[in-house]
Amino acid sequence: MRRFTYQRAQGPAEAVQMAASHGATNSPSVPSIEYLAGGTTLLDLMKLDVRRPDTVIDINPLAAAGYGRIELNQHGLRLGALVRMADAADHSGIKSAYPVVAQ
Amino acid sequence: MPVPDQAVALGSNAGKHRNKDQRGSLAQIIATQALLRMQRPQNGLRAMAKRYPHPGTITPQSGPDRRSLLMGTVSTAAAPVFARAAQAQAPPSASAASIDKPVVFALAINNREHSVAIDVRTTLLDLLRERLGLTGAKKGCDHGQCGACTVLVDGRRVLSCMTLAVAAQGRNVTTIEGLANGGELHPMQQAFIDHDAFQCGYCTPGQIMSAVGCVNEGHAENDADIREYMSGNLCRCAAYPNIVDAVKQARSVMKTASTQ
Repeated sequence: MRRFTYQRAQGPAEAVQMAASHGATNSPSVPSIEYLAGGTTLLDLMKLDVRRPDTVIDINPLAAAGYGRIELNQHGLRLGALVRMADAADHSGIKSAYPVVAQ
Repeated sequence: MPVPDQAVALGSNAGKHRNKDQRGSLAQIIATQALLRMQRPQNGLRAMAKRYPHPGTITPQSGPDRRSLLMGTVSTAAAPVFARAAQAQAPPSASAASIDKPVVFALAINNREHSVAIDVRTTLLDLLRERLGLTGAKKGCDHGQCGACTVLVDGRRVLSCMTLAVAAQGRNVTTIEGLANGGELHPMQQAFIDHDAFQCGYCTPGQIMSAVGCVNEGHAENDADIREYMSGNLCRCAAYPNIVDAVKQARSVMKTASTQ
């Protein structure tokens, strides 16, 4: 794995600002930034040297700021970006109303 | 079969040999691994002791133990490689130098606070095993596919090989070492013993941590659920039926304990 700097965003605005301050882009000549959520894909690809971010911004604290919420109402289903797959699969509402999503 | 004698001789001379000649390191690793392979299966060991009537020289107790022997050998073998890598990665600029700085943070492991300064790339698994000496969590695939590295972070099971240590800052990590209550085994540990829920035991710490999570989540109500929610933990010895039995036994014990 290549070296990178690790930052932790406490809120969505901070996350966006952090990425912007590094000139967010994935072109090889400019520093690249990746957001870290669950990490299953990102860390795996970083270990394999497929992803080579200069900066990793950990957005897990955002889960407490409402991005880890599952909302189910008459308009439909809304999954926060930081909802764990296991939580979604185990959610009783999703299991009954959206069994395919749960699977 | 001339290998055992050579391997034993090498095991006892490993220290001297290592200092004298770095080039011997690779051969040492191979010979050490051959030695370890022979020592591992109990039956093989007994059979060998019969065939070679020098039981004192071949038993693990006679020399350095398996772990210290292996770690000593590997670290001397690796030293020149790392030295070269460090030269090649000399920081090209001041900004790269800041990237090289270790990250400093605190986390709780088995209810004990730890303050660590580590390379930012260190996974939680490597922190536990390489820095803190908690070698219970195992490195199987290192790609999140086998479950051998499962630990609990704030009570939730996670794959420590797929978690950056720095991302676990401020969290409470529970490893297999933190499960027993003093000298008393956790019900899940006891159940695995009672049901013989392993053969080689390599996946077992991960299986047990995952099983504890499985019961706490309420996903151990029937066999099908246990199999489904334990499916992230692979056992190449295929001890699955016994693992299911162990989880069921521990579930009852854990439920009784929690209602008391």
